[in-house]
Amino acid sequence: MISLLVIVPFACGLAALFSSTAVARLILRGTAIAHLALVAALCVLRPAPGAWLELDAAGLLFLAVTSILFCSAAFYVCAYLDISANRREAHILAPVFGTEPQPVFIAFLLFFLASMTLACSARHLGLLWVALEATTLATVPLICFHRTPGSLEAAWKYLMLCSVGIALALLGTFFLAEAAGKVGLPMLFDTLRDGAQKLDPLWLKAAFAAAFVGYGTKMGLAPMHTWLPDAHSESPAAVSALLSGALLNCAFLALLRVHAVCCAAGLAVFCAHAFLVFGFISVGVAAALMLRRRDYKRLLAYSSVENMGLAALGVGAGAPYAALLQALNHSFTKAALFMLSGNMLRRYKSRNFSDIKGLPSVLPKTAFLWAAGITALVGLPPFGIFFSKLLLLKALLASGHFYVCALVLFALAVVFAAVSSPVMEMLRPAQEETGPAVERRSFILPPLILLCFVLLLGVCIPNALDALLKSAALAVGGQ
Amino acid sequence: MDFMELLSIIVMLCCVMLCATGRLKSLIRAAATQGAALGLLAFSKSFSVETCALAAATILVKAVVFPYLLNRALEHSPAAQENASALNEPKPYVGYNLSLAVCALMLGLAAWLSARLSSGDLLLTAAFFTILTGFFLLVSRKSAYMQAIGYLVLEGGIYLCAMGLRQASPLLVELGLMLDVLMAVFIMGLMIYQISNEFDHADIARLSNLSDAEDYD
Repeated sequence: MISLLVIVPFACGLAALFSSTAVARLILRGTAIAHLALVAALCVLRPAPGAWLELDAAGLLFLAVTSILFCSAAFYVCAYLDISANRREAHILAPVFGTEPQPVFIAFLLFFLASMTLACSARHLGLLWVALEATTLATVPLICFHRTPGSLEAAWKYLMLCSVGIALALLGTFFLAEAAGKVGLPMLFDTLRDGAQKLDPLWLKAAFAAAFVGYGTKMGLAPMHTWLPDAHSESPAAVSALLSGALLNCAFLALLRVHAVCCAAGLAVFCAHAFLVFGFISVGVAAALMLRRRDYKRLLAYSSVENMGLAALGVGAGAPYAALLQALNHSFTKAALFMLSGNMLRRYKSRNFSDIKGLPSVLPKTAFLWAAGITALVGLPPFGIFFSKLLLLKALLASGHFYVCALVLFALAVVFAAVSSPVMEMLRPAQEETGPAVERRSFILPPLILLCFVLLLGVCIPNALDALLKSAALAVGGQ
Repeated sequence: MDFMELLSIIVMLCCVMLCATGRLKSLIRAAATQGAALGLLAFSKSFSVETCALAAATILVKAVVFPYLLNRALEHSPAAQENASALNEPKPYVGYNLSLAVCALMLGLAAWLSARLSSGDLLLTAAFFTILTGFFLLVSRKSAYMQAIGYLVLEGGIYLCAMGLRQASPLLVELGLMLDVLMAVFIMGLMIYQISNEFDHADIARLSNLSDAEDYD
């Protein structure tokens, strides 16, 4: 049943590769809906763990987010491909698959979905590594879809940095295998967690350090974040949304799996320090780099670094519930904002704040959603991020990190200023009267739905979700 | 001296070779030789149908597909067709003489590490030396070719490290790993081809249009 979730998108991707553009788009939408339906079914059925795949609470949580984001991105991307047909698009794989680029793009989107699903549901830690490396490889052709020099450069940096980073995580996985092999345990994350007392702590420490650097690179923690702003700003809007909303979470989950094993083996303090230090650096670096930014997509990208840093701080402060809630809120908000940034980019042909004039009169619906999304992003109520940030700060205080808490509050204030001032400028009404441009439903509905989720998470968290979050926090927090 | 020690020494010699020269064709050949030695090592470590298949796959990916893709990108790049100097690495951040000195230091460090961990096993020494060399190449060289080679060397070192340490991991994981490396090499080869077409060079140091410095008010 779980394996179906991986096989269906992969097979559909293969089918899309060899079909015409129109058919490929149908396949994309169909697969996205089927995937969402299957995930919903799994939420109810909760199948028993298999030999290779298992959906525990944490995996299910991230898988559900991935599936929802992918479904909305699929509808967005079809409309996007509709009108971008005459733009410069060629695939880096064009020499292999012929010239028609769109089916190849769609196929790689589906491969991306398959690999993210595998990452969320892998039970074997080696398989988890394989899945994460596969996500890198599947996204490279997506980032440089328009083959501009900038996107080629961004894709190359992304490929090299993430591959090298992830190679370190492989070393960590082998260290863990060595520790597990000595006492005859298999590399399944749940059995390792249960038998963690028997593992050699020296090998475990080495494994955690290597995995932290490796998966941290992919998760966008500073100072390993340098690929992130380039890749997120150069790729097409829907791809940025998926990279930021879904892919960073998968890396976070991988890190949490290793963390859970180390915590169960009594290394909780060692791990918490790593999370606190790197989380704090990420929040600080992102806040400093967000000031006076000209490019709104880069601003959003740095905000991802900040938010993943906050999630890491939450784990370090011993509040995995808050960290997971933060990751969840960030996914929905950021994916919606990246899609909206695509709407603006299409209309204004510029990624500079200063070129966006009179947004409310030109793109009224986009402007409204953009304002709502930015409100959510900077952490104002009634949106969910406000509550997850509140929980995080509370956890930092409760665990006695007063200075960290004060500095993080300061960084959040800097972020607030850095984001809100250029956005207020954008939202000023136009001087000269320009009629509103056409806003297609497919460009408005997906971000609207995602923002509704964030609002819901802020107003009241449904009981079922709350229970899922609690058991996920228990599974990954090692407490 | 048994076969495995001989192969470990070949792997280490390839690392020295990689640090010592800037001729891309020789570098690709050295990386391919190292890949073949890695495959043979896997072959001689244990003998079963599965390991044979994996060793064959390693040799195929690292000693056949990878050099083919890189050579193809090199020969078809517009820069290389105009002047022969494009067949050399552009002036690296660390010169070749200094690189060799660093190489000696890294070998010492690798020997010390493996002595600490497993009483000086030659296989582990080679593994750590290869990992360090991979990192060194990644940070000290400028062209996209060298970065791809550096990645492959690093990955080979980790593979070797696993061979020196571990009790064997399941076939499915090994196959997935192999497939990932194959795809990575494949995509890197194609990207280099595209980059050198788009920019007329494959010099990563000059690929710096996307930087934060230019994005401020």
